[in-house]
Amino acid sequence: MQEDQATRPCRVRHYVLATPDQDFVCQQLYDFLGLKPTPKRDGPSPTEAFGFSTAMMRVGTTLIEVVQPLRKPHLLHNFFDSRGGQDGGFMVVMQTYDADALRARAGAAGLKFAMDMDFRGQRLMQFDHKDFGTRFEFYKYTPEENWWGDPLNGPYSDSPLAEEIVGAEVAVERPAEMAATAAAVFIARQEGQAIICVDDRRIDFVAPTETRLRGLNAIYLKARDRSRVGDMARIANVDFKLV
Amino acid sequence: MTHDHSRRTLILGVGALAVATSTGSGALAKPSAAGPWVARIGVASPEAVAQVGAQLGARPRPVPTRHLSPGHRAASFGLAGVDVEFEDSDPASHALAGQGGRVGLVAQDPDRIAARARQAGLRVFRDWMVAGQRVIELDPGPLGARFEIVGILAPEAVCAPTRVTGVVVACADPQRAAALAGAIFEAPVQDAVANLAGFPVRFVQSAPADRKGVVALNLADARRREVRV
Repeated sequence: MQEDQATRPCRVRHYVLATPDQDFVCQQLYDFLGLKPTPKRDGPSPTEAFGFSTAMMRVGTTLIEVVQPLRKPHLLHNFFDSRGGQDGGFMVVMQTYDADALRARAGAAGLKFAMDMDFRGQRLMQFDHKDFGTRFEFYKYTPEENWWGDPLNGPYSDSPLAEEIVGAEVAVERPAEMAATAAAVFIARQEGQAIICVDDRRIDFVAPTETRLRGLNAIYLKARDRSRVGDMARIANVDFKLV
Repeated sequence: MTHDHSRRTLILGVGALAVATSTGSGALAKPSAAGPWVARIGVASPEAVAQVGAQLGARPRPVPTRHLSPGHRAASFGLAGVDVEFEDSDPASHALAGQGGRVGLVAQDPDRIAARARQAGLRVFRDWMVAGQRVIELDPGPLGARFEIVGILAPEAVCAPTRVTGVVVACADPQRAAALAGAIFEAPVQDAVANLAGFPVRFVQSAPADRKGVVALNLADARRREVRV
């Protein structure tokens, strides 16, 4: 029913890292996560027309996307420039079940989307990185259980290290205030400076520091081997933490 | 800083083994500087463990693999004054298995090594925390092998009377690799040999079609031989 869709909490679906060297970062991820490399598709990447290439991998039901700009100027180069040339966590991708309802909640919070468009048959809406510290991009997926990257049917291997991505950390000024706004707009539960989304996926909003730049800085992985809890890899300036 | 050679560990996962002519440098010299020292050497291949063990008269045994990537297995044995591990990795799960091996170093400050590598234009492939310990691994491209730096290494028991006195690494540009190693590890370099706290790492030219990485060990046993791996 339409009303139910309008009030369904948004879900975290995947995370995007941006780098000038996609192959290197993918190899780092495959190495740490123990993944077999995702086969490259025949023909041009669907994003090449937009000036960037993309590579995907999956941990549990959550995807990791690694993007690399193919031309200059490009938004991704602006991202690197804003970080002193460093690669980093670029975006959190979420799923909404009702684009109009999300748009209404964003408007009520005084927020506008930086992008609100149809993209390859899906409705895409993206908040500017200034709003929540990093870009939060929403899709109304059709069908709703198979989204960008084809996680249900794509050629992905399973990680022997981690069973799922269970959260992330985003550095932003006034983190508690940002968490409150995000909880209201995303329909999530707020716990202090964190929001808890569907399936207990959490986004922790923390204050930036000299060594922790504004943006997506950490991703939490549920370790299959509990003795690995606390271990970590830093890849593309994002800390992949085993929890 | 005191360098304890009884804590040296060598990781090997060797594809093919042959005994070549001796170029061993004799008894293991004591580390002469506060820089990092070679503690492990690895070449990934399943059949190597038994082969190398037989060559050196040692029987490898399984060791904990927490520090290794998923899918890796390891077996180890100790040599006189040198702890030895053979690493046996699953190439399918290892993005850079084709790079042909690992030179493991122990350093007081892995962060410093990582910073020097970046300063020298070399990327860090692994930047991990494992069991509270920092593990740094440099981009193997220019160096031929994967140079891994850790802060602490547990000792292995001695089970064969052989010393490892040097390692040979094949790469595309030995002079550049040695210069990089010297700059990053603050080690003296001469004739494409980086002397890491008394342990020579000799870089040699690899033909384009040849395997890069760890290709031989210098042993200070009775025959002072170089073991190709």
